[in-house]
Amino acid sequence: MPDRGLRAIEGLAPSPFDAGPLEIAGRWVQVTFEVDRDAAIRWMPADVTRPVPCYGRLLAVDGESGGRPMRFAALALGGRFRMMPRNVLVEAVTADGAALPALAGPALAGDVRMDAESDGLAIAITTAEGVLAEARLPAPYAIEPAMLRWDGWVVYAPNNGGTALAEALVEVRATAARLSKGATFAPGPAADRSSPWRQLRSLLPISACAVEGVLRVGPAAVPAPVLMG
Amino acid sequence: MKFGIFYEISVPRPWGPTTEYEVYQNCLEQVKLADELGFDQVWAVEHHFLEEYSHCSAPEVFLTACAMVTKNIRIGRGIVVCVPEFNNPIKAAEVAATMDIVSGGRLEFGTGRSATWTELGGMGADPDETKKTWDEWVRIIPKMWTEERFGYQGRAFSMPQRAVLPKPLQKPHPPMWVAVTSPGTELDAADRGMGSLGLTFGGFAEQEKKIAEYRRRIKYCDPVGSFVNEQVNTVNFLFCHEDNEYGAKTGQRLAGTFNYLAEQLLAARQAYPTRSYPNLGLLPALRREATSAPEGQIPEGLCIGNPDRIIEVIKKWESVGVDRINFLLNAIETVPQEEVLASLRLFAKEVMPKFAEKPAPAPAGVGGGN
Repeated sequence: MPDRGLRAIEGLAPSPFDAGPLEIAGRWVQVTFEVDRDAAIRWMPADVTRPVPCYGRLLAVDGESGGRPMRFAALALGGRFRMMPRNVLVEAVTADGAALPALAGPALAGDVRMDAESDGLAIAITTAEGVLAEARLPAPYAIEPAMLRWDGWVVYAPNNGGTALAEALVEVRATAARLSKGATFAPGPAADRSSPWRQLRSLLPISACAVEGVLRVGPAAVPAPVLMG
Repeated sequence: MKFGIFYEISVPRPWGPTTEYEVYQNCLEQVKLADELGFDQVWAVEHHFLEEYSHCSAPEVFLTACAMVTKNIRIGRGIVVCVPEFNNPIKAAEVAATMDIVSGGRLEFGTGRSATWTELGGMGADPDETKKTWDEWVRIIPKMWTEERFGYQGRAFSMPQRAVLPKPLQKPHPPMWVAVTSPGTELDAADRGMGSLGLTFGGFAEQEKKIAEYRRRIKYCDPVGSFVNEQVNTVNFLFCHEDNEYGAKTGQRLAGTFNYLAEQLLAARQAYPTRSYPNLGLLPALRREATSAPEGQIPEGLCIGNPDRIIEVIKKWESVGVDRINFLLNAIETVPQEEVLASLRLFAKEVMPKFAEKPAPAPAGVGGGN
């Protein structure tokens, strides 16, 4: 039967926990890339099975929420939870290091920059130690936003005195979308070998998109137990 | 209605030194029995890298072995991936013709283009290109079989004039099929005069609508081969047992295991936005199928349970226009081999006779007129 993750989830639920929803108007980038199988297993909870091949997802957002600027990046693994494809949160980077509403889980303090370059888009995710990771989307071209697919997220929520996996579904109202082939996603000097940002680096780019519009995630909810998946 | 068996050849972990050997031997034993029992066809997929789900990357070899241990059952190459990173159209035509010869003219030739990033990414294929190369290949392969010498200047493939040898035993050539996992591909099959090799699991109403449109469209087709193969082939699970409750329970375990394995794959559309794969193909149908029935009830359309129940289900499939059903018999050996063989025997004894083709009435004045 398929491989299950090894990551212990106790203590990963943030306190205070905010189920969301998180609604952001602005622009965001989603990068999908293949990752090492052993590393994926280490960062994936036991109630999630790994797909073939293992893949990671970076969501980097620059916008505003509730009238305030909001920038963050979330690193996820593609996983299967309750028979459905989900982005399983590994770690986020937020301005103050506090967990995000809906995308609840481990978070580092830092910042996200998105810069237009002559031939594409560059994303830098930084912490106080320097650049944690960088992504580049070369030669993006316009596509119909309806072509994009948005998987829900698996995040960490307090439950009966412990921690449980919660699901946060995604809704998108996109006004523009661009697709880039051959995007890169690489760790920076601030990601040492123990960091998931290095362990889950891209081994093979799959796709990357840059989108403008409204992104809504959550609310996060702990689903009823099932027998498989 | 014709019946066949269908192989993904799924191999359970842990993978010991002989695990794959044992699974392949079990499959060959099933094929040999199916032939003796009167099943019409055996199909085997071409999949690559799909851990546990399918270890059938060289179906032409497996199917040739099937041909060597059987006499009548037709051999379904289901399918040749018509993408240059996977195969070559000349080689595909040559191998198919050779299979047709060594099987004594029993080949059914399925075509497709892969639907998973697992395979497309692994082979380095561009998902945006697969529909175009598939369309080119299905037009040139029958010409390689039927023309003494063939030359071609195309978009993704060209060759100088050469004799592509050998030629198939079946004349003008084996029947051609298209694997249908994405909605709309059955129309691609119809427009090209090819059989619809359905690989999805759907409810009766959904399939009836698709089949009606296939039948309507194929009347106006521009066939890519030398003849029109107007047939609808579907896939289903089979577990037949005298005890309906036990049969349904075991069959649901089989279907659930298969679906669970399929769920781990990465559909092309899931990771790579492209018009070439407008939807997720097989996976949503499997999820729906796995969760469609209330607890304790058998999902609609599955051929699991006792013979009476299975007969009713097949009659319904027949009524919506299905010509052939291919059965998945196992998934990672979740059903013991002896039970798989017993299920085949019971199906052949109790179910198949109900759908045997009736002999055509003798024309007036010919024979039996004394």
